[in-house]
Amino acid sequence: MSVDAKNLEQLLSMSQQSGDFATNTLSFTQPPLKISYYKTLIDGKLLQQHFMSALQNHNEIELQRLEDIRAFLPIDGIEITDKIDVIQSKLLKGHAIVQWNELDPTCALVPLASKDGIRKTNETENEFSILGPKVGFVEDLDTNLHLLRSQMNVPNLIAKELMIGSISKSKVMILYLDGVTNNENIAKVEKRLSAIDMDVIFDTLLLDQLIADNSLSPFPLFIATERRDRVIYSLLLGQVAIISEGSPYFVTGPSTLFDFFVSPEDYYLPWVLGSFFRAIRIFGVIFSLFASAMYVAITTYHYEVIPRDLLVRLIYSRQNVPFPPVLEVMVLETTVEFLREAGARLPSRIGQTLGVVGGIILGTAAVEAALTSNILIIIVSLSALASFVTPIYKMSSTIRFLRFPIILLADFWGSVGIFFGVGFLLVHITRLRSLGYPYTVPMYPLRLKDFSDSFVRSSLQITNMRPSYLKPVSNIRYRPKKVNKKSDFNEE
Amino acid sequence: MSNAISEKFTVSPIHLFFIMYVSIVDISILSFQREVAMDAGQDAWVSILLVWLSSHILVWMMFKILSNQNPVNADFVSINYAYFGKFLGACMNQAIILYFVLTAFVMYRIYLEAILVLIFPTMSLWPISLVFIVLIYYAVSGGFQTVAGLCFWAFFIIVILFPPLLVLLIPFLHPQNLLPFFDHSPMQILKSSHQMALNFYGAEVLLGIYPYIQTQAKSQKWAHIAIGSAALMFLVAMVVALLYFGQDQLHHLVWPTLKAIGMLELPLFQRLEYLVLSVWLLKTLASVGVGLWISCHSLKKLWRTKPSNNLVVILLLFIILQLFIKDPEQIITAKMLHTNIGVYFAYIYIPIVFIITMVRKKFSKG
Repeated sequence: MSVDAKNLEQLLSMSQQSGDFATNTLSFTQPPLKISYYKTLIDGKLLQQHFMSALQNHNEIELQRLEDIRAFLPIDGIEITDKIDVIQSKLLKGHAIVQWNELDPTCALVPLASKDGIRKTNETENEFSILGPKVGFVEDLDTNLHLLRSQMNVPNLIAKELMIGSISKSKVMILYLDGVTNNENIAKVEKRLSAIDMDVIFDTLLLDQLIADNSLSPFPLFIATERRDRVIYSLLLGQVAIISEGSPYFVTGPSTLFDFFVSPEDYYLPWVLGSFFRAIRIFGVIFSLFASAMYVAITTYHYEVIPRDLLVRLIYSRQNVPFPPVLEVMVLETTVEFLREAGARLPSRIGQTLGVVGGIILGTAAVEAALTSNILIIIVSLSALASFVTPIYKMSSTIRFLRFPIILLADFWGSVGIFFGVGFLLVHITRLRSLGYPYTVPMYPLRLKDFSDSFVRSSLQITNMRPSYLKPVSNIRYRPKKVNKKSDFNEE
Repeated sequence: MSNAISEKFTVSPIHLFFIMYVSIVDISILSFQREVAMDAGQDAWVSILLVWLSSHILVWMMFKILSNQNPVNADFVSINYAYFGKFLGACMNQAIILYFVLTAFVMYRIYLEAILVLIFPTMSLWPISLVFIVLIYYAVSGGFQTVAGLCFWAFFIIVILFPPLLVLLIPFLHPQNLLPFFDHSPMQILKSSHQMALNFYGAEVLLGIYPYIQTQAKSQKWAHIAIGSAALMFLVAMVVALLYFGQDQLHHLVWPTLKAIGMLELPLFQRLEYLVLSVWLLKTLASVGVGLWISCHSLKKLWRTKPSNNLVVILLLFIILQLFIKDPEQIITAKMLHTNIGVYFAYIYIPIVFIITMVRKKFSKG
């Protein structure tokens, strides 16, 4: 379906069906100019104070041609054209059309767009961190680029513009550092983006899925972030960032599995602590994936794996539970998912109440009613907690989803079943590609040089090189100061 | 076919190490001690050293053979065609491919048998083997890089798992079990070496994967390191079994490594053999993957069929073989058949091809 107008007449008649479209013939200009605009898209103040008053004050000047309005309108960026596609898109982006007379196909486009209804600033809400800047992106593209450029004061930060979406006509920007990012990556992103056929681009996250290498995978193949420091960090390493108009999220890629365990906070802490917290995150994710499955495997098949003293506690807590372990775990895991899903949809105050009701009251009641063992409650809530340790929300959703098939496999074949799950996962992540690059780098393919900032965060002395798997044009990020030879103790 | 294989499908030389290591260390590391110690007793470690040395020579020969070929055609299919002519070469290729398929099947079936015997004695075999076959299909259809990646993960997991277990075993070892040294005749040592050679195969995968290694000149050291570390692992497993069990005890144990590990008690876990055997799934998957990838790829070169079709056919063959090979005796027969072919393949075929290569080289020079 084509929604584009063929000519100006059709455009105007189509627009006039809307109640918020205004067409006026100005009586105070000579000749009477005709202006048309969407009331809801333009800034009324701008229209009245600058546009109208300027026209009125210069009434005495003879308007010979349409171009003359440039001379006295105190507004920058006036464009004069007769191309219908330009006129249509500008009209819908908050420009007013000025016509010499009704029949003239040439229009002056006066930018009067309003920025009402758009957040001016944003604290990072979803990717919170204690240390570091709290600057987040907003729904306005210009503000976002402003935020980026205010910290990257170089002209080689290039923002390539694309137009995507047959209805939304969203502006999409591809950002990269010229002379750092490999041109192949930029070309690949551009090629995939321009191949997209979609009606409305609601968010950059939609683009993320449309350009992903494997649309069947539960794993996120690109990092989606609202944090400025994270986007800048990606750009510095030689990755490409994408943002669409109207979205507070940047998507950066190519990404690896380990990128999803990196929090910008790691860089604001001493490297020992940063590495420790990164290790905690990876351990948390592994725990979250396998804890409930191990409970199922052990209580269904392998009682003898547990030492006697612990086994007594386990059996004592399970003795009145009338269900097989897998049912018990599935019910409880689903309950936690209910709580999370409901908590995410409710206003935060009700959400807190829900947490108390769900977590504490339900949990205690379920144990007292002997519907579940209290050891399982501990395991399930711990693994729910641990799934949230990844700094990227998409990854934690993936992990919570992957728990369920592993639990089922554990019910079928115990510990062997769990490792069938691990096998499928390993084959899957080994097969995955992000923008054509292997997902599990630097583990596989093994690149020992890139280990310095992957699952550990080494000292800034070492992490001065860009990761080699991105094939950056220039390898060196910065030159660390040479450490002088350490003197022996008590000696100069 | 003259231009080099795209970088998209190849792996860097260090990955040759993982592939070869994983191909050599198979499930027999959990069970080989009894057979090897049968003849040589406490001197069994000497026979491991002998096999170790001979494997290095074999790898050296294979590299001599392969480096004298055109880098793109440096695999056994092209070599056999070039050396033995069209008909005989095709027969030999088909035989070698069948050997690789048999290797993969034996690994797969023995692993399932181990699970059946040690973890789930009453389990029905079909559901789990179908899931396993799907998993194998998923892995091998990912191509060489996926198979190589699996080898890496398998190695990684072995390295994480085994050294701590070894450290935990140290308090239970009795060093005097190794005494007296050299108490057996050369004949007994040779017999036990033969037993060891039956368990120490897999280096021949090199003949199938060589064109897919980048900068092949640098890869030889990784192959030797792989042989070295795999043999070291066998040696450690042998010595630990000798020191942990008395010899008369060892003669009655089918799974000495697993039994030794199973005695350990950690605060949270005991019966660690379950863990080891479950983890071994990934190892089995990796080595089956390597074998099947070589088979599919070589079949493609031989008959110009699509690799994915080859894979489906081979996996169907797995299912059919599984229908016929049911009880443990048949599995042992299949294993004996396979290991004997393997020994001939390694110690007769490779030297012959090596000699032909050397002779041809001399003639082409002169």
